[in-house]
Amino acid sequence: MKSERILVDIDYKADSKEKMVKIAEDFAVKMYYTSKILGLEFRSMEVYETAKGFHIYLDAESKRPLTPLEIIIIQLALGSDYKRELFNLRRARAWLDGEDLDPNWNVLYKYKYNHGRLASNEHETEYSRIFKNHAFSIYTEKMRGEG
Amino acid sequence: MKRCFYIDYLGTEICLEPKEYEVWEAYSRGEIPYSEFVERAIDILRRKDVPRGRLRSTAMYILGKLERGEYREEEEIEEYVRTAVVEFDWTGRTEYCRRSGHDIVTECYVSGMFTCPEECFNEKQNTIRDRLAEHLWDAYKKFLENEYIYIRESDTSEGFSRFEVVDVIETEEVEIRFEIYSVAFYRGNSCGGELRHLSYYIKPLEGFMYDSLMEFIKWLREECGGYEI
Repeated sequence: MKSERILVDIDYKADSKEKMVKIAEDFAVKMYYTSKILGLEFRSMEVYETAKGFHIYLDAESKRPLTPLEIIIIQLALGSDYKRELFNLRRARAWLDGEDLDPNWNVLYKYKYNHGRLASNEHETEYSRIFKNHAFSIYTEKMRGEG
Repeated sequence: MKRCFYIDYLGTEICLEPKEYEVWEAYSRGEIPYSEFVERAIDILRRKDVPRGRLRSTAMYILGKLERGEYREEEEIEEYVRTAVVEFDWTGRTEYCRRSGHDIVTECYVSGMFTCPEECFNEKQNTIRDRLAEHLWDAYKKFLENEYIYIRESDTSEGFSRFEVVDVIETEEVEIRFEIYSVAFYRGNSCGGELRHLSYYIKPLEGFMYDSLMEFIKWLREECGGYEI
């Protein structure tokens, strides 16, 4: 088994707790199918709220090492911002041509700046905790065959 | 803990650490000659702020005190500065895609660390991080300008994917320093094309980053230098 890090950038927010729970449920379903279809298991999850949405950090165990392209597709499948993944793909193109990929190719900004000025930063909020708790418990139940 | 041999001298106590005490003991036992003893003893006493004209006489005075057993030996609780070791990964990007044939896409990654008194870091970490971000962006911009690849109208993005305390060490004095672990630069000449890793840009980019971190550390020393204990 190989440890992998999946980073998901969700660029929308919920305007109520009920909607947040629904978003978390949908995310858990995506995690579940990703696990089943691609043979990987998500071991832990961190969720932080940002100015535009959420940053999700997932640690996964995969039966086979994932290539950068697979990581990009998984992130897209989980609902990551399409623009971010297209930028990631552009970075991965050089890798496809045989170049080394920078270890920082797949990044999420914990603190985002604009010309040296802070624009947004990650923080744990009530909504990010709702997201994490619901998504991970539903996912775990589904993996155990209980969901 | 620091061990001290205290000798009363004109109403104040001089602390001789075991290694320093050995100089007097060695002379007393006849293991080192007078000239060496005086030279080494004076050197020690100078560091303890004994006035210049009294160095030799103080050395002899201490010798008498030690030989007569007129000293007390004590463990001294040494005070340390709790120093935070902060590591960071920073990314800067520019993208100009508005004029066909003149596309320029750049990306740079900088990993490094700096140290800072923990108390100051805890109190001012947002200000410290913002200041570092400002310096790194400024350095990146200067580097791009220097290479004639900075376009003011570019879309930009920058930020820390990591900025965290990885260790807290105890230092005898305030220690504020930095280290650059790695620098990488990528460039694409077409917005639909791939980004190439350009290793020949690393040295100049590293130079700009080094200068900016020096400036940052200078500022940090002013901001946090007073946090001794």
